[in-house]
Amino acid sequence: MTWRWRIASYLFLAGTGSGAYAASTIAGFFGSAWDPAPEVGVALGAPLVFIGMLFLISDLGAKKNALRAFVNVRTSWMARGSWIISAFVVLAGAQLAALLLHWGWPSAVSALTVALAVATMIYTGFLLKACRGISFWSTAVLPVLFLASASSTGVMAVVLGGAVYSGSLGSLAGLAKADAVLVIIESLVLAAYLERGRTLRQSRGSVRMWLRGSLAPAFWVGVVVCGLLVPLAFDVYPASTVLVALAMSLGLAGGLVLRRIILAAGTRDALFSISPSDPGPFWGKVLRGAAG
Amino acid sequence: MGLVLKKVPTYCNQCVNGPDLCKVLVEDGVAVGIEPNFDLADRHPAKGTVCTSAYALVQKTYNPMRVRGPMKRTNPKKGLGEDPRWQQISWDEALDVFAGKLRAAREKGLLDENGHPRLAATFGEGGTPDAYYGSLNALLQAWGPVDFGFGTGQGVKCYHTEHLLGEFWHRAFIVAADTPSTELLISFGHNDNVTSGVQAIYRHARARERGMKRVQIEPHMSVTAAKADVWIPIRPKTDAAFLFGMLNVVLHEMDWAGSCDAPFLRSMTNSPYLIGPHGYYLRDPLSRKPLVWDEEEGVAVPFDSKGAASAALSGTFACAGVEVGPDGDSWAHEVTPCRPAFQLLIDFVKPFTPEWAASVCDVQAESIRGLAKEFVKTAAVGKTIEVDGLTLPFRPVAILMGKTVTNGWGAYQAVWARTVMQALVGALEVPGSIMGVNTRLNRPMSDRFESATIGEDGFMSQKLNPTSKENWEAKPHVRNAYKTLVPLVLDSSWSQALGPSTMPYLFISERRSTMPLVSPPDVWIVFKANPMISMMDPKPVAETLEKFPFTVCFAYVQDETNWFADLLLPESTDLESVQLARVGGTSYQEQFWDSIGVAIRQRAVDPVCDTMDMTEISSEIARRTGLLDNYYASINRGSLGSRLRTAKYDFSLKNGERYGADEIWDRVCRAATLTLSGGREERGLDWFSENGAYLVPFARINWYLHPAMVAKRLRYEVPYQERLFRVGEELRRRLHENGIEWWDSQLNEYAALPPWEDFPGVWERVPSLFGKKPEDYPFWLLTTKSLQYVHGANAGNPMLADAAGNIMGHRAVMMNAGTGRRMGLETGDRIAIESPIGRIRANVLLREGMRPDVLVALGQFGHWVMPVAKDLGMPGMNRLNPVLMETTDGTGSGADLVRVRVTKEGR
Amino acid sequence: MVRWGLAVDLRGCVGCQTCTMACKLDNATPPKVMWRNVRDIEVGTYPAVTRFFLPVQCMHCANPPCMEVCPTKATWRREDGVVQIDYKKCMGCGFCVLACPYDARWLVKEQTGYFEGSSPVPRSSRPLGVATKCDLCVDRIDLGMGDGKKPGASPDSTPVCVNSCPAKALVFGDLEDPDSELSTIVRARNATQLRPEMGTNPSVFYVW
Repeated sequence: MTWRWRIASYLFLAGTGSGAYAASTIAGFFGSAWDPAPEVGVALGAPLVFIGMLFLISDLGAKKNALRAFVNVRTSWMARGSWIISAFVVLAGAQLAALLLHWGWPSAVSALTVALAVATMIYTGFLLKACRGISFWSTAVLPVLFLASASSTGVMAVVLGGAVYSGSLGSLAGLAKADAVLVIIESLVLAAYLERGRTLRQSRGSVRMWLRGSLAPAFWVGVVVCGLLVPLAFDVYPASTVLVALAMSLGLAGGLVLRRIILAAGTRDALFSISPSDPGPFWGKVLRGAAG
Repeated sequence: MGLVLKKVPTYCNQCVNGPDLCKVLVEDGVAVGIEPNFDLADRHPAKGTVCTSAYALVQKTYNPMRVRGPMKRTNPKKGLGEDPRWQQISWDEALDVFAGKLRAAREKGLLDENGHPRLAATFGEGGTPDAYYGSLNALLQAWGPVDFGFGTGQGVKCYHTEHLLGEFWHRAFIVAADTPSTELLISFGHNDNVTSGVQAIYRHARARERGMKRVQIEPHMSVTAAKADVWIPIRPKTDAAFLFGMLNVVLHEMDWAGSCDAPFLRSMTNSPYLIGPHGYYLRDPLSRKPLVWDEEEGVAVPFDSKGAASAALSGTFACAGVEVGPDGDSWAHEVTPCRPAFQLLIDFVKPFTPEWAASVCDVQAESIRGLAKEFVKTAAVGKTIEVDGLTLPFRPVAILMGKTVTNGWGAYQAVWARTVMQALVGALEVPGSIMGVNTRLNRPMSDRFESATIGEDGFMSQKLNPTSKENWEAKPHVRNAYKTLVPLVLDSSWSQALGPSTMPYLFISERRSTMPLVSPPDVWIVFKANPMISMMDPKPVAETLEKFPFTVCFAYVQDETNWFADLLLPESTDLESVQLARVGGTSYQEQFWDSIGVAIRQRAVDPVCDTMDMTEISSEIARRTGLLDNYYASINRGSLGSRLRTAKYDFSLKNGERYGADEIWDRVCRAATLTLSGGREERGLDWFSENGAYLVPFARINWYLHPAMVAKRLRYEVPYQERLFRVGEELRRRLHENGIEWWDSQLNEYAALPPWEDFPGVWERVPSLFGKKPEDYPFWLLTTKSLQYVHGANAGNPMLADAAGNIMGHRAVMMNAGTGRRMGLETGDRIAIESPIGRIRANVLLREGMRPDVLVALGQFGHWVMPVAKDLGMPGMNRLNPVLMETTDGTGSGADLVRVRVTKEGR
Repeated sequence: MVRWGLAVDLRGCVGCQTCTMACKLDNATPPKVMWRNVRDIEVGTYPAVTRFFLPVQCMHCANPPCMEVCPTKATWRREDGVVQIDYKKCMGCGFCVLACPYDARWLVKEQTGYFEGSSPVPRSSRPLGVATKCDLCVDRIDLGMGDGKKPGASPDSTPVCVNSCPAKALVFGDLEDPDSELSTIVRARNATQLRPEMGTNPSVFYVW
């Protein structure tokens, strides 16, 4: 498929950055018990998403036309996303600048930025969903999965960032507990996504690629073990700061691998479908007409 | 900007289906496109279209890997591991070297110590080189004896038995169906939608629309089978058994007297000829004419007497007569029991029940039975049709056969049974049936009907190579001994190339004491041929080529054969040189036109490399070898397609003058148009450059031999092969008199009624010849053609590779999916395929349209030198297929099949 | 109004790839890029097998998903139904390549050519890194219309694939004109479109 690591990185960074911002800012609304989460989220949000944008731009075939990405808002999720993600980067970036300059920041703007962050987390799902010829992607479960994954990886990024920044878990342990919930939700959504993919004839092959085929190692080791089980374990039993940090790193890697294997398994549906028992009038003629 | 786009008419004859007419789009001297020649669409059997190979011409011309100028070898050693170390030289030097070698050979005498020509030439690509070799033919004619017998796949791999017997029976060197009116086409692996050009694609598409039923009988589902109504996956090499089963149904389960074409059998075949106890015709003692039994009078009468109209087809009779056997041996009978040939046929096919055939062929008996009945029913014996004012029988049934069916052991049986099936319902050379084309061995080359002259015993004349004591060629005059070993190959212009063309390699590489003494030719010329790739088993070929003292290859790119050359001459290719070629009439399987004429191939583009026009090369070599007068004389006699001097005109080349290629071809253009128009129109090269082709109407009645046969009161020499039986006996005597016993099994093919033998067994037993166990090689490896690569020299064209990649089997060996799964294989897995003589590696493609015991490798590949082709990863089966006397049939032909085993190598 | 379209006769097509080659040559597409190509398809299980050939190209949909997802509006649909790409606007994101249900769009970002790009022909003036696809040879259609040559009838104003087909399995014409050969075939032979459930309403119709 056309989209590989660069786009996977963009999907991952945009999701994780906006997730980190949203999770930590929302946490911040609930009070100082969660310090220094809001600052970490602000510190991570805009830069990660911005780097993600750079990955996207680096993947463009004709970069000189990159600004045209904003033109077709009416129908294109890419254009809508370009506005969303740019607005987020501008606002969250300004907030970061304010933070570094120790200026205050109006919480109304933060609330708006959180909304943009959530939109960023979700829209990448709608982006892929718009590819209607790829059944594996073309489902409303995908935006939900991206939201869930962006939330959990966002929190992991905050925990990791906070741990690195402050050298200890401290109040982040609470956030880790929240992450455990998010990982469990993500696991459920992922299961739902696979179940939906499995029941559809056209996407069954993609699910098989994940579970038993060429992508199975990436799925089982990368996504299930690194991305879900290890973070979950250390979210629940934060044995040591170092181990938690390591677990969060693995969790983030799992998030990236998840994006990558979603792209990789997005094979185009067959151009026609012939059911041998009921091929329909046209394909019936083809079956009868050609030798057999 | 402002480049002017010119459309230059030309032809594409890269494969045997041409020439097809197209236009080259040229911008500023550079070819940028190809399109059909719509100007001539209404006169071309495929509406002016051309196939992928023509579209590949642009890339072919600008291939940067082309040999860019004449090259000489600087490594004196030749061998597979010996890099030739080419050094580019000037044309002047190259032509001097070439002419020098020719002069030196000529000074030693035209023939070597064994009586073989010192000059040999090999042309590949199934007869297409003459559309590209300019006046090379005239040069070779000017030279004198040339050995054309070093094979390059043709002869030993082509429709060999069908060529020779088709020619023998109905002047059908090429057997074609009357596609525009056939209603039932039974095809044993005849892959026309791939191999018979755009004409086949167009005509068969129309036939499908019309409702023609096609039954495709072959081990793997080819492209053509995809377009068939029924596919019957038959076991390889059992096609004859299937047809024997069909004959049995018609002659033993049906009322043959009521449903077959008895008048046809009686008057146009040897069915009523009485056969004596020794198996020869019972002849009138005085006139020595074969006798038939006049049922009305109850007496035996000569076949051409009045009473023959009521000749018996069945029964046993008693009469006087004489049998004439080999070498004039004769048996006079006062009274002897005798039976019509047709009765012998009935008796002969009795054991071959559909049930028997089904078990041999691994198909359903009902398929055979049903098909035989449908064949007879569809033939609609008695129906007629009017063609150009003449009323002809209309028999819309055709049985066609493809490669590996029509060559190698079992082919005689298959071709014979097919022709007999057709004859039973009078479906020979009439509308709707099968017929030959103008391409033939028998002369005159211009007119098929004239070639059907009155011969012996009521049949068409046929000058089989002599087997009599006085005239048999005990010492072959060329190295493949075609005249010595194969009476049926005749002695016509391309008989040599059709001979047992693997033999020279065998004779040189592994001598047996009674084999003819053979030395390498002093000079070997290769044009459009790559025997290292296209012959079976390249090993003996390589061992032979190493020994050749001087090899000149006309070279487009470096390849596996010119690796052994001393001189590479890059000729101007398709779009870079000029030539006039015949088009139209009837010339190949689907090449049936309603016009006939000539078409131009011209210099459409500026030269890309330091190349030279073939006509200029030939003229220069003729001059430098002192043969210019002979060369002109040959051209004047018509070696370029038209006589340059007749009573009506004189465009002849004059001795002492020098002519460029354009001047020569301008004269050919004028002579050709005057001839075609009956003197009314004269068109020069300039006119052709603009207009592309000159065509005159060709009446459809000319498609069918039937009227000529009737007019000349000729019979088809079927079903009983009395003459071959006799000739075979004579050949046996001659060979044994000369101590030659290595051709004994081949002599078994000379049977009057060819018996079924275990033909698959011939190949199944091969491993034991190498001390291996046959059961260790459980698969058949077969080949099938690729339309995109039907011209083998395009193997190095990457754009074609892209397009061809859309069709199954390119870059992989195909295998039945169930078999593959049982072996733990998946599509894309690497496998090793092994025969007793070698091993090749390939990716496997699992598919359903394959017999479980068959593998198929597409085309002729396995290159290791040719640029691009060597990186395709397309395996070639030739390296696994040994050249053996055991697998060589009586016509000197082998077949593309070999028993192999498969092992998995990885992902 | 005009709506250019194509009928593809699957019974006529033998997968010869002449149209593939003609298209590649005329449009100078890079290696592996085939704006149109003919798929080789096998269904069933031995020995009950069906094999057929399916030409695929841009379907010039009435509701093209590629146009919907294109952020730059580089993809647009002409009044005559031809879906076009404006290379000056395309940023080469590849979204349309994925969104096309017919696998008919191509995006090549690196300079490639046959023989490592060392062959002078075919040559193209198309920029690199933009989405490309079958344009139904609009240059020929427009040129022909300008010269009064009827598209579909005169080869000069007919797509090269249609011209090249030896089976005459491709018919080009105006779907809006009820009397065109194309419309007649589509009506009379119960033509089908690929993936009709997508709601794309292609201008390419398949008949048997």
